Amino acid sequence: MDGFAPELGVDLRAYAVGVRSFLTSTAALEEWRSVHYETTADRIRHEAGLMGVLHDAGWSRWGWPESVGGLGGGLVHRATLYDELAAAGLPIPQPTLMLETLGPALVRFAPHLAARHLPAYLRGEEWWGQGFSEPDAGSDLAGLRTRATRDGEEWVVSGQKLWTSHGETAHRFVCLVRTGAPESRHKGLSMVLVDRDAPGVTVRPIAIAGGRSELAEVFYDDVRIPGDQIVGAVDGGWSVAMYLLQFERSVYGWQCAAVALSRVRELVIAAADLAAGSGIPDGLTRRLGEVYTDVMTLRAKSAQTVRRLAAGEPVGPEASVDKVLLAAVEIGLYDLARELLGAGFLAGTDVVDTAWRDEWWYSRSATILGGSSEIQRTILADHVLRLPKEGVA
Amino acid sequence: MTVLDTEARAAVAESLRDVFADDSARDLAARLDELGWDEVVNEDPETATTMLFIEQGRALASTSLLDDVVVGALDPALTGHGVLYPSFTSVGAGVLLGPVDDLERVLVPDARGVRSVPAAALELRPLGGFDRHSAWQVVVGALPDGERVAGDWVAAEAAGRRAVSAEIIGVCRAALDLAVQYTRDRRQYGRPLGSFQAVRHQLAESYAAIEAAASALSAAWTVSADPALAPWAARSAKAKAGSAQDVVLRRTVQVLGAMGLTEEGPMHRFVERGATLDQLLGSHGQLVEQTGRDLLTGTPAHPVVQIWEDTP
Ligand SMILES: Cc1cc2nc3c(=O)[nH]c(=O)nc-3n(C[C@H](O)[C@H](O)[C@H](O)COP(=O)(O)OP(=O)(O)OC[C@H]3O[C@@H](n4cnc5c(N)ncnc54)[C@H](O)[C@@H]3O)c2cc1C
Repeated sequence: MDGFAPELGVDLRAYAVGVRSFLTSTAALEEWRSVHYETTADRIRHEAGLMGVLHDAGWSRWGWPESVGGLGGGLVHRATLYDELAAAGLPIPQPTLMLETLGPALVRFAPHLAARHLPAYLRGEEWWGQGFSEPDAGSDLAGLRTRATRDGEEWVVSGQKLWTSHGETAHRFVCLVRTGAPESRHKGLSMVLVDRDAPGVTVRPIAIAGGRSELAEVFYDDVRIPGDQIVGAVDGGWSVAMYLLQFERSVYGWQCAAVALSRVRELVIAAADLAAGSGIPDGLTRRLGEVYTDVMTLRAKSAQTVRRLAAGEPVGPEASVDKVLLAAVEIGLYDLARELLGAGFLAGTDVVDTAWRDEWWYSRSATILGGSSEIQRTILADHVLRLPKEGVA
Repeated sequence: MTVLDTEARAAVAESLRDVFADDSARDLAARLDELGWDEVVNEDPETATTMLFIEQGRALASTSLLDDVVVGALDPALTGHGVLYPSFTSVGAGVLLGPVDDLERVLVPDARGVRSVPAAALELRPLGGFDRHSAWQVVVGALPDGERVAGDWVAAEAAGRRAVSAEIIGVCRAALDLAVQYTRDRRQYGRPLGSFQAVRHQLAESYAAIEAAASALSAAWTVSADPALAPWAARSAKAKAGSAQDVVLRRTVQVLGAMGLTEEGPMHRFVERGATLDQLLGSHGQLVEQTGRDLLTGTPAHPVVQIWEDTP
């Protein structure tokens, strides 16, 4: 079956079967298997090429409306594709992580911008960064200070964003900025789309421990943007951000679970090598079992959340459970890898060893990004359990 | 038995910080000589060794001082030899703490004891990998032959484990200091991070883990002259220090948020050093596993600490 067959839009099982057979039988995909990259920029660019192949064959266009270059269908199509990619030993292309975070909000709140730019994003010809965090606004996002000021038909953006993933190579940034009074907190925020090549945008890459430039600091010095690059209502940025966070917290969890499952398989192979050699250290068999069980559990919880989102139901504070489970999987899995690989993890020279080290460091961000572990627990305590709040000023 | 009083210790600690901060051309041995370090060691070996390695850990310095401790315990006549540490054997024949330029011979422990091999015959590569800032070298290729030397590797290894425990404690203390300072200064939601209980508890727990490791280390020193007990207690002390770095560093990283994970701040360096030091002379996982196995095969659960001993 080819990736454009109309019944794929309604028959999810047929879609899953079709994707799987495409991914496992297409010789052109070999160049994305077991690749190790020198830099994050190389990786993003090369994996964007995989988006192009999936797009041309139709498969990755399912799940997106026709107005943005898609073929229709829904979020479950996309979630299926990511899962099948990981199962087939292929990467979930890096640019899709941000696409899943930013794309749905754009489709919903700025259909004109989505129609203008998402087709190229789906083809892997461009990708974006998310400019929320700032030096003084991390967990407390509503404290952010980057400003957008109206000037006739245009807006002028000034300020500084920090920790922008993929910032080094991103073509555009979706930024949360202040349009209200300095003390307006979440009421005076707006979401804007800024082109990277607009005058006044400067990007300084930031290396995550291990040395890869995963992040960036982005400076906006009187950057002029047209009035139609506001996503949603002026001063309505917080509700756009909250809508977006639902996807960030759940689809990202599903993508991570898919990758984690294939990493578990790799660890089983590494453990078999150990068992044949020096033996598996005490307790690690049990931890392998725990990690697998946690991955399976994350899939179960995340699938429920993704299905609810796909059905258009709002996902509330309970989605913080997904994030707690995700953090447990990421930390548990990569700590286990570190211990199983032992000295090889610390000092091995193989590209595979380097990859495990880089991924170990990246796994630490599971308790930080998109709301830290502490913040997720506070959300559950405040909004689900309705415990009295810790005296926040 | 410790003899240096609190004031003397503070002075020594400060001088040691200067020694490790000194980036002049004079080598470390010359700087320690200037300080009259040998005298301090003679007066109070426990305090001297522990403080020296704590400060080395704090400074993230990568030196060969550990060789002196290990060789001194093996046979002082061999001072000046390097040591091949048997950890990391899955990536080579072992590690050296630095390049061998100034060394003539390297001591290699094996199942039958220790042999001395010519340093020039070793093929080395920098350890690199997770801790890219250490001077450590991996021996690649086969080990050359060498002559047997006298000396008890088990005792030398115990002395080494006590020193590395102190170094790990130093790494952890510096990381905790950094985290305490950061969470005092940084504000979110109009409050210092350090006023949120979720943050406070993590740092308090880190402190407790470091103090536990320090107590286990001092217990190991009280039995350091007992050939049967010294290795047993040193192993536990090293295990406790190794697990402390795990407990502490994951928390000090967490409370820094993204800053703790990136090269914008120094926290990752402590994580990387803590991990390699944990592996040196046995990781905490390996050591407690060994202790468990020994207990199951007849080694008595010795009390190690006697309340009537070492009372000032
Ligand atoms: C790999 C990575 C990628 C990222 N990508 C992006 C991106 O693409 N775009 C973007 O905008 N941002 C991104 N971020 C930033 C991320 O969203 C922030 O790091 C996160 O919001 C936390 O903010 P912070 O780092 O300033 O930590 P802080 O807010 O300073 O928190 C530090 C510590 O204090 C704790 N803390 C803070 N407030 C409380 C509280 N009220 N109660 C209890 N504990 C509290 C936190 O849990 C944490 O442990 C990324 C971060 C990482 C690590």
